[in-house]
Amino acid sequence: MPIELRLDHMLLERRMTLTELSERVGVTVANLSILKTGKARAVRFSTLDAICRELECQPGDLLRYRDQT
Amino acid sequence: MKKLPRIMLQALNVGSWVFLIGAIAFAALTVTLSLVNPFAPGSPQPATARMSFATPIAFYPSTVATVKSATFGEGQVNSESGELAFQMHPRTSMWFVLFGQAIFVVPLWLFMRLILQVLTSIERGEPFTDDIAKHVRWLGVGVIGYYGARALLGVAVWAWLQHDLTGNGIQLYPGGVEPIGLLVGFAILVLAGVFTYGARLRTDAELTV
Repeated sequence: MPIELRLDHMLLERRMTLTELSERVGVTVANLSILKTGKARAVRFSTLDAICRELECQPGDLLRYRDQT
Repeated sequence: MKKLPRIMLQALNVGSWVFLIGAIAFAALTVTLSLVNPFAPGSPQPATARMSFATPIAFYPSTVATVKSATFGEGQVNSESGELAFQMHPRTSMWFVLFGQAIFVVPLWLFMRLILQVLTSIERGEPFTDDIAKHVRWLGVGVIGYYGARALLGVAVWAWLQHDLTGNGIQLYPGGVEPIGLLVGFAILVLAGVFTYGARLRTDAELTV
């Protein structure tokens, strides 16, 4: 998948754990783990909204396109 | 999805094993009976081997006739039932019975096991998985393969009988592929496509966060 989610990077910058984010946004650790490891096929706007609100960032800060050609 | 009764699955599971064990027991009995020959060596008691072929046979003017086989000698044939009966050595007869049983029992048992796996997965509430799609695909391929093999066997028997069998007014036809069997096989393959698509959608749904 050429779209990458930089959740790891954002959590590190804010010194926040995945469990802590999970409690704040109301998404299970398992689902956040899917996001973190890049296995996700799609992200709901509601999830993105919650993550951006808690991490105080823009969606563009979380997503990155990597050309694989 | 409404769950299938567990007892039905258990009955199918037990039934498939009873069927297989019964078939093996029957094969063992056939072998034993052919080996335990009460007659003196050199004068074996002939047994009647009855064979049903996919090759259609027609006779004129009667439906029942006496034919001569280069391999088995004189025999009786019934064009209505498609049955050919020869007097032959019990051991030769045994091989015919075992062959006939093997081409019927093994595919049917495999079919039952695959159906059981599919139904078990549906009962668990997980019908759309890659494994189930694979099993359904194998069912379709198996049905098409079985009917294809039957048609080939019919042609082989026809080719052999043409040289082997002589009789007054005998007419042999090579038979052909049974369209209903092939249609069922293709319908199962289409169903396998639906399961594959369902499995993909399920994965998509699971990996949507």
